[in-house]
Amino acid sequence: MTSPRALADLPFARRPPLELLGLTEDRATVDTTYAGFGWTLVDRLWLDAGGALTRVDDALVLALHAADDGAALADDVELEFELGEVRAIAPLSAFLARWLPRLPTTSSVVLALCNPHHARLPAPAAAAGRPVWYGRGPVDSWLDHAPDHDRLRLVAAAGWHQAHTPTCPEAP
Amino acid sequence: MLMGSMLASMMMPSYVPMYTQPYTTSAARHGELHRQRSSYRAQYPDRFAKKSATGRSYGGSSGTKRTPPRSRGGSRFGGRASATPRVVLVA
Repeated sequence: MTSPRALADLPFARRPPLELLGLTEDRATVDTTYAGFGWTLVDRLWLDAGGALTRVDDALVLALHAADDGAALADDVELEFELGEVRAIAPLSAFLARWLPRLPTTSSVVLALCNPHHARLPAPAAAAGRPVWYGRGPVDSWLDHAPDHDRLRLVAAAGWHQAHTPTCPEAP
Repeated sequence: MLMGSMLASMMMPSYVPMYTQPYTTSAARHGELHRQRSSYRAQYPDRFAKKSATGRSYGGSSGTKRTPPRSRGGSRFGGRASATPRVVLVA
């Protein structure tokens, strides 16, 4: 299999939410070696900023991975895609410009993505005004069991933020 | 005296044991015993939740319950330090 050379050639596919977020196995800790990526649609999920919860409905969730040895950028994140024998690298901004227009339109977009250098992300033009949520620092997925339903939760202990437009300050 | 007589008669060729059929519990009796024991345990549950001196339970209802975990851990969306070759994707 030849590895892709362009962003458009990435095998970035839709997957079931639990599978995409690495939640199919019963475990009490977070798997830090997970390398799966793709997108999914959820009716509801919760963004957890170390205890403070924000509810997000009708979301397109993009599961991505920040490069562990990526450059420290103030307004971007270097992504890494494990593709068998190679690691494909690309900036998040370029990825969103290429892929967001191809994906379903929802009320909001959530990036399940670590942000190791605490970059402040600008709103991508391809989001067309929809809120784009991203975390700072490590981002982990959790599934909370409740008697009547299960709850998807993404944790970013350093906080969740909405990507800001150039003319507006970043929402808290 | 009596014991000696019994042992001596066992050695005789004409000896016939009193019980020739092995005893087995019938299926009906087995079910009856099971019901009786279950009923008794249900009536006196405390007697079957043994605790050690440290308070740990062994058996009984309090020792066999297992509550499911409240939350299931998922994944972290960071990369891994790796020597795998890097390819930079073009837009």
